[in-house]
Amino acid sequence: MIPATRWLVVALVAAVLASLPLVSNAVPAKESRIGATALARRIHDASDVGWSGEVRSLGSVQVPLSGATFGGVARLLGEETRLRVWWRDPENWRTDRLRATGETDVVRDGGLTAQWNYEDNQVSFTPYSPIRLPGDVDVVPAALARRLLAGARPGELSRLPAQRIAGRSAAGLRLVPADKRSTIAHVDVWADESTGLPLRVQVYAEPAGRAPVLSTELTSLDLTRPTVDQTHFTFSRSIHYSRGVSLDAAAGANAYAPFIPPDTVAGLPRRGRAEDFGAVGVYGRGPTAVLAVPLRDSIARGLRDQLRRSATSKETAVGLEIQVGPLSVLLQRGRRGNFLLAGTVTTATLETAATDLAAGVVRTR
Amino acid sequence: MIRVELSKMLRRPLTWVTIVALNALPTLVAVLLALTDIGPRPGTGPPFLSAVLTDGTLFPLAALGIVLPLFLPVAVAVVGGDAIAGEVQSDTLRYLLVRPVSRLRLLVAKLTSIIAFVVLATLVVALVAYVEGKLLLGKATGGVVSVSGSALTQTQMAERTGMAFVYVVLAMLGVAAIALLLSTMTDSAVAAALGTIGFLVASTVLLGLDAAESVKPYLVTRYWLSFVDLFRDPIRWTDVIHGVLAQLAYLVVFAGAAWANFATRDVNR
Repeated sequence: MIPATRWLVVALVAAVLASLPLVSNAVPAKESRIGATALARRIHDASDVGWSGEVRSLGSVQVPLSGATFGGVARLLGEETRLRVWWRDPENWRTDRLRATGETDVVRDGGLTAQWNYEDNQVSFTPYSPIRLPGDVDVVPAALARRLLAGARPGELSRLPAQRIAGRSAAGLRLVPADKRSTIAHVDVWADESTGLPLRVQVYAEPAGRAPVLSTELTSLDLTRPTVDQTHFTFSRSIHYSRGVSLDAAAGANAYAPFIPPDTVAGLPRRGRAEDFGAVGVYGRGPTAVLAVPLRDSIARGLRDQLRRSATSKETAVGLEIQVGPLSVLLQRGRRGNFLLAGTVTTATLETAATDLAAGVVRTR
Repeated sequence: MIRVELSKMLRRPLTWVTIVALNALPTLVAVLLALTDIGPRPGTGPPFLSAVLTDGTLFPLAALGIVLPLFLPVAVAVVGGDAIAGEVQSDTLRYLLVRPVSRLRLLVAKLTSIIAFVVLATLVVALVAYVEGKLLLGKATGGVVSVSGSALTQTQMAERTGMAFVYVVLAMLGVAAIALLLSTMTDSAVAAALGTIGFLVASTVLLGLDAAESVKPYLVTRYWLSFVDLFRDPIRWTDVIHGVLAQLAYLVVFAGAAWANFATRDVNR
């Protein structure tokens, strides 16, 4: 064999090996004829679809917050998150956030939540609360798509070409919020056509933006409903156990703050049933959303210090505010306590919301 | 020929000096942990290091996590870079080639010798770390805890540790093949080792770059620390399998390139 032939053989072998990972993605996606509204409805109805798989999310919003209370939110919006997910239904699931050095798992078993952290060798059990700060489960495409598409109107929806995701053909859907107060330009969702399970969600802050501010997708998928054993976790007896009363600052505020927020702020109606959301107000529709959380003085003080350190923060008549990408944040200190307002709306809308909140909140004791 | 190369590798002082150096850092870490009782914060430090404070028997895994990202590949690069270029430097390559053995057989013997070095080095690191963990670090009473918080039986732990050991050895195949190729391309063992280390540094830099997302599955260092996935519950096989396949691909391509280059290379020394 002459030298050139030997090198040719090596080059051919290298080319074949390098092309192997591309083969599965080279299969074209099957185009679907389902309408945009019907697809949105199918996605909404897919919450009970059981599945397991891996999720990769990537955010590019650099929120200047850290620490135990709000650090998790900053990580979800600004970093890469890799999850293993077992989903039986909205009340029974398990998410494992993978790190090179360990993992943090959250298991929801009906009304109870268990959170395990490997490096701390500790599991803590808390009652589940519908009001909580965004967590790992919220960047699972199925959960994020349902939240963003909630209340979408037919005129805001259009179809996108199908894509191949996690080895399946996924029908595409675009939501362009009609509300001018929103800082979200559009949301693109691809879902498995047969089940409606969302496989990829991309959120864009600029109409012609090349890169999404938040992108999450399934990298592997098994549409078999996980068994109870897979979502019901049995922990070792040699780890530390603790029992908490609330998942996080938002859940704690919901449980103890003596407030009833108004039904509308900045013209945005309150979401959900008042008895479910207690002292916390969630306003708006789809991606035009405002969250208002009462904070204890100690937490508000730490948050204010962190926000002040940001170069983009500014004091206004209603509070300390910053805008990071599409996210507006305002920390209000009023006669009736501290409120954190955050949302994907303009700062002017958030200021109006803060004013309405201060005027409309009712103190119960 | 393989037996000769293995014997040469075992008799060389470089082999044992490198293995002793490999054990130095894990030993220092064990002593510091034992003295201070301060583990790394979540998400920082090598894998399993936080767990060894409560269970010293996990220290072999922590030690592998300490040496795998840098020290073990550097050691493999030094030994692999020396494989052919070292013979040239000591004027012995042409004497090796006048024997009635093909150049391919010589390359296979050299590659086998490098892999045997990896097995030996990894084994010594694991054994030394086990003794250090037993003597200096935590003594768990309730069994071993998986990364996912469930209990692992002694049998499960032994199986998974064995698989982790094999995985770490396989993870070095790519480095060994790259070093062997460069060793056939230069007369300087140091240049071959530095070239290999440069390749690894480039791979590590690209791994941290979002813009390099499309090339990450091809990077030699991409799946090195995936042996941690063997200790999750259930075991996460995806990256472990990808890691093994990636290393085998590197082995085939770079060892093949070493063969293509060495088969007709002019040997003057």
